[in-house]
Amino acid sequence: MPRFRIDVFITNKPAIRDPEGESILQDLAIRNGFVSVKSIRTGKVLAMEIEAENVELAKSKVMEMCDSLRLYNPVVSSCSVRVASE
Amino acid sequence: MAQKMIFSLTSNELLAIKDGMKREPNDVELSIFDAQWAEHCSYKSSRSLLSLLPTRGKRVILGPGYDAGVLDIDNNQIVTIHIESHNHPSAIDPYGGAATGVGGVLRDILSVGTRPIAILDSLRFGDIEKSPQSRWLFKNVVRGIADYGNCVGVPTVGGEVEFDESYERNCLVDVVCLGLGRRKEVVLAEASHPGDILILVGGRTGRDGIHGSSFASRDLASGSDERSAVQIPDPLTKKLIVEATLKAHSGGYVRGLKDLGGGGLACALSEIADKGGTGLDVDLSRIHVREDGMSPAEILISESQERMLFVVKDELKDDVSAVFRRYHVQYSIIGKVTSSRRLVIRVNETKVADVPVDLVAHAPLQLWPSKRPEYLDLGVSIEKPPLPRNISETIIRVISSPNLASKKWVYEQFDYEVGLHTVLKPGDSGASVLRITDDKFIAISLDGRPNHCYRNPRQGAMGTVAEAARNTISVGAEPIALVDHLQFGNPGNPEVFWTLTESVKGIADYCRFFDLPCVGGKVSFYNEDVDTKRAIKPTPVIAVLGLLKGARHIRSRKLTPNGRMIVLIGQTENELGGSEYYRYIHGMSGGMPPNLDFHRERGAQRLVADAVRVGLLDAIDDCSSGGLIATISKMCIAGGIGAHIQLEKILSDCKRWDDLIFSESHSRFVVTLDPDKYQGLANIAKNHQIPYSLIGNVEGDKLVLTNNGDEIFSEGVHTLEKTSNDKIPSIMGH
Amino acid sequence: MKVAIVQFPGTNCDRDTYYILKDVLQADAELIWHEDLGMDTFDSAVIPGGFSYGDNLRAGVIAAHSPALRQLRKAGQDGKPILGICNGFQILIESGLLPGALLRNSSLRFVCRWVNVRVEAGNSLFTTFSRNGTILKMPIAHNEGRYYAEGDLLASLEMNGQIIFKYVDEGGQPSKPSNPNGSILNIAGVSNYEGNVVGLMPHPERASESLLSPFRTTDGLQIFRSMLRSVEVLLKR
Repeated sequence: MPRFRIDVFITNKPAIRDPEGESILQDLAIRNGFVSVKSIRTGKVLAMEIEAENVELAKSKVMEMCDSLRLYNPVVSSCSVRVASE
Repeated sequence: MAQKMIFSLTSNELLAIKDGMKREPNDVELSIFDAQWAEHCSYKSSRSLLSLLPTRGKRVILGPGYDAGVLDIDNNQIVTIHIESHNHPSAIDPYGGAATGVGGVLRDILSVGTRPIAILDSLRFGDIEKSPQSRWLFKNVVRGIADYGNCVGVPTVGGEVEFDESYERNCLVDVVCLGLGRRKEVVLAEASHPGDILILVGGRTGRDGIHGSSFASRDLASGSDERSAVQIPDPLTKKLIVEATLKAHSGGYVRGLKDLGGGGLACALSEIADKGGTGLDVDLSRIHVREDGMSPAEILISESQERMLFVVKDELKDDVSAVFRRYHVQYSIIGKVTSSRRLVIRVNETKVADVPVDLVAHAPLQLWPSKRPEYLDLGVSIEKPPLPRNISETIIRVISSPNLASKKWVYEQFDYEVGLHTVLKPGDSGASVLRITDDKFIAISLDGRPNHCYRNPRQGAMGTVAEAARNTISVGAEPIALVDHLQFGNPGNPEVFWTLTESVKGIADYCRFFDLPCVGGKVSFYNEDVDTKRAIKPTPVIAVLGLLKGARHIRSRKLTPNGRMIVLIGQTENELGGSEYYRYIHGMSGGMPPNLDFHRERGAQRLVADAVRVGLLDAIDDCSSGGLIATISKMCIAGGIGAHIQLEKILSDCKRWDDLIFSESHSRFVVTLDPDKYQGLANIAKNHQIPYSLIGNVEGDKLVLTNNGDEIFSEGVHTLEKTSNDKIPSIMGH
Repeated sequence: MKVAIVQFPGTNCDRDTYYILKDVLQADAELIWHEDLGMDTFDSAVIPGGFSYGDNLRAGVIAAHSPALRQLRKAGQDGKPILGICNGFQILIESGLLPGALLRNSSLRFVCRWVNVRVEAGNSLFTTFSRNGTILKMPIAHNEGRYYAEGDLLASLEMNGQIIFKYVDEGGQPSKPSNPNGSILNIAGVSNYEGNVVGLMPHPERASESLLSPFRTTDGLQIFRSMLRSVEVLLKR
C-alpha cells in the first residue's frame, strides 16, 4: 500500500485571537525593524505518515482521526490537512 | 458583520424597562439591560437570599457588593479576597476557560488597588477513571490555570479537586484570589466626581466573549453559537496591566477602578455610575477595537479579556497615560463622569443609548418557587453495606481513590513559590499559610462537600464552612472571614431552588453562631445536563481566611518525632452518609450525613486554638473526607514517619471497623504531642468539655492499625506515599 | 558596589530577588526596567525569573533581542558577575552569553518542586561560598528547563569546568529519578568560559530564608553571597 506524508495544521480560528503571534509580531519582528511584516499567527504542525490506497483516502483518514480523537478543540481551533509528499 | 442580537430578557423585564424609560428602548439600550440584568451580573434570583448572610465584622472594611472583600489585618495592612467561577466557558474550552477564569479573579483583586499574591482553585469533574471527556477537561483546566497563573507570577498555593459523576457534563472551575495592600490605598469601583475622565486600559475590544455573561446564565447548549463565548487568555498583557495599574495607583492617579468581566463595558459603566451616584458620557468611537465593523452593542457587551476601566482626575490624565505607555499597555480615553444620573453612549457625536443609571443597575428581583426534593426522604434509612472482607485492600483503595489520593500531579504544574509568601506548600496541610511579614501570616482553606450537601444541603453547607474553618485552625490561624460560591442547577426548578435556599441558610447559621463575616461570593446557576436536565449536586464552595500571628504558632500535618502521642479530639459518630467510603467502595449516595453540633464544633476549635497558643501541639490535621484513616495516612506521608493506631481506644459508638475509620463526623482533629504535654491538653479539653482519646503513637516507618492487640492493617509509609502519588498520573496516562 | 536586577515585560521574580539582595543581605540592589539599563553604573547584574514576553515563541528569545542584552554582553566581557535565574538563564542562553540550549521538560509539563543541586566546579564567581560537592536545596519552577548541548560542546563544558550545578539525589548522585526535567548529565546550571556569567534553573531567591524552606535551609544565600563577595574582590583590584 502506498504511503503518504500528510501535514496537519492546527491554528486558532481566524476570528479568534492569537496573543502569541501578536507578541512575536510586535515585540520581536516590528521592534527589531522588520516593519513590513504585517501579521503572524502561530499554530501546531503534526507531520504524519499514513498508508492508504490513494491520497484522498489518506487525507480523509487523517481528518477523521483529528476529529474523532479531538486532536484539536473545534471550539477554538481550525484544522487543515495538506499533502506533503507521496 | 454584526451578529444578530439575541436577548434573554423576560417579558416582565422588557415591560419594566419600557416603564422606567417611558419609551421603547432601542437595540443598543436593550443590550445594556440584557448584559446587566443577566443573573451573572444582577444576582436577580439570589440577591434576597444572599442578604441572609452576615457581612459585618471588626476586620471587615468592604464586604459583598464590591469587586473583592477587604479585611484589616492591622498595622495599616489589608488582605483582599474574591472567588469566581468559569464553569461554562471551561466546559467547552477547558484551557482558555480556566485560564481566563484566573484572569478574571486577578482583576477583581487588582480593582480594589491591591496586588494579587495567591490563587487557590477548587475543581470538579466527572469520574476520570471512566470518562475520557473528564480526563480531557481535567488535564486542560489544570494546564490553563498553570500557564496563566505561572506567567502572571501569582502563585497557586492550594485548593481541592473532586471527581464525581454528577459533574460529567458540567465541570466546576472555581478560583479564589488573595491580594495584599495598604488600608489607606483601597480604591473603589465608583465614579463619584463629575468631570473625571474614563480611561479604558488593556487589551483591544473584539467580538470574543460576546454574550458570555448571558451565556453563563443559560443552560449549556451544544449549539454553534457558543463560539462567540470563547475567551482567549493573554497572561503577558495581564501581567503588564497588573504592574501598570499598581504603578498608576501608587502614584495617586486613580480615583476609581473597575475590572471588565461578565457583561463587559456595559456592566462596568452602569455599576461605577450607580455606586458613585453619577452619570457617564462615553464615546465608543474612541475605544481601541480589534475588528472593524463592530456594532455599538457588540463593543458594549464584548467580554474581551485583560481590560480595566480607570476613573481619573482630568488634570492627571497625562501622568497616568505615561504609566500605561511605559508598560506597553494600550489605553483610550473614552468619556467622562457627569452629574446627570444617566448612562449616555455615543458614537462620535451620535447618541446611541441613553438610559437612567438607577434603572439599569437594579434588575427586578426574580422570585422562584421552592420545593423540598423527594429524593431526600428516600435515601435516609438504608441498609448498611456488607462489611468488606479484605481490610487492607479496602483501606488502600479508599485512601488512594482519585478524590483522596495525592494531588501532586496537579500542584507540581503550578508555581506555588513565586512571591516569597508560601510558608506551607501544597500537601503540607489542609490550609495554605502565606507570609505577610515575618510574624504575621494568613491562612486559607478552600473546601466543598457536595456529597454531604446532596444528603442535607443545610447541614452540608454548614459542615463545609466548619471544615474550611478547622483547616485554618489546624495550621494555627484564627478564622476571620469567608467567601462563598454557590453552584447549582436551574433556579427555575423548585427542588434546585430549595437546595440553594437551604445551603445559604446553613452558611448563614454558621456565620452567625461563630461571628464569622461573609465578605464576598458568587452564584453560578444552570449547571445541569442539557439533555437529561439533571442538575449537579448542590455545591457550595467555601473559602475561609485566617489570621496567624507569630511564626512559632504555625503547624502542619507533618508528623515529627517530637510529637509522639496521637490524640483524636472529638467523638466519632456512626455517620457514613455522603462519605467517600460509601461513594467509592459501595457506590452508595444514601445514609445519614454527618451532623454539625455548633457547641461541640466551637469547643473543639477552641481547644485546638488554645493548645496551639500555649505550645502543646506538634502536628495537627482536621479529620474529615475519608475519615480517620485518610487523615492519619496523609499525616504519615507528609512527615515520612509511621504511626500505630489502636482502634479500641477511639471514642465512638461505631460497632464496625469500617464505620469507625471511614466516618466523616465533624468537630474532630488529629493532633500529636510530646507525652509531657498530655496533661496540659487534658486540662484544656476539660475546660471546653470536649471528649478526646489517646489513640496511638508516632513510631517506625509503617502505618499500623490494631484492634485489641490484633493487627488489622500494616503498610509501609513509602508504599502508601507511592500508591497515593501514582494514582492520578496512572489515570492520566503519565 | 551596585547590583542591577533587570526587569523585562513578564519578569515576575524581580521583586523577590530584590527582597533577598536588599532586605535580607543588605546589598545595594536596584530594580531596573530593561529599556533603562546602563551597565556603566552597575558592578553586576541579575536577570530574575519569570515569563519575559510571555515565553512566546521560545522562553527567553524575545528578551534576548532587547538592547539590555547588549549592555549585559559588554558587562560580561568586562568581567562583571552576571547571574541568570530560570527565565534569566533562558535569556542568557538565547542571547548566546551562555552555551547550549534549554528545551521543553521531558515530562511536557511545568514542574514546581524542591530539588537537590550539587555544586560542581569551583571557578565560577557564584560558588565561591560553596565547597565542591556541596548540596543545595532549592526549588525549581519551569516549563523549558531541559539543558541540552551536543557532544563536542558538552565535552568542552566538562573540560573547562563550566558545568556549575547538577541535579542529584539525597545521596549526592546525579541519578535519573533526581533529574526533574531530562537535562543532559543532570545539568542545572552552567557558566561561560571565564566563570563570571552563570545561569541556573533553580531559584536561589526562594531558598534564602529558613521560614520558606521545607527543610529550614538557606542554601540559596550561598550563591548571592558568592556573587557579592566576587564583586568586592573585583572592585578592589
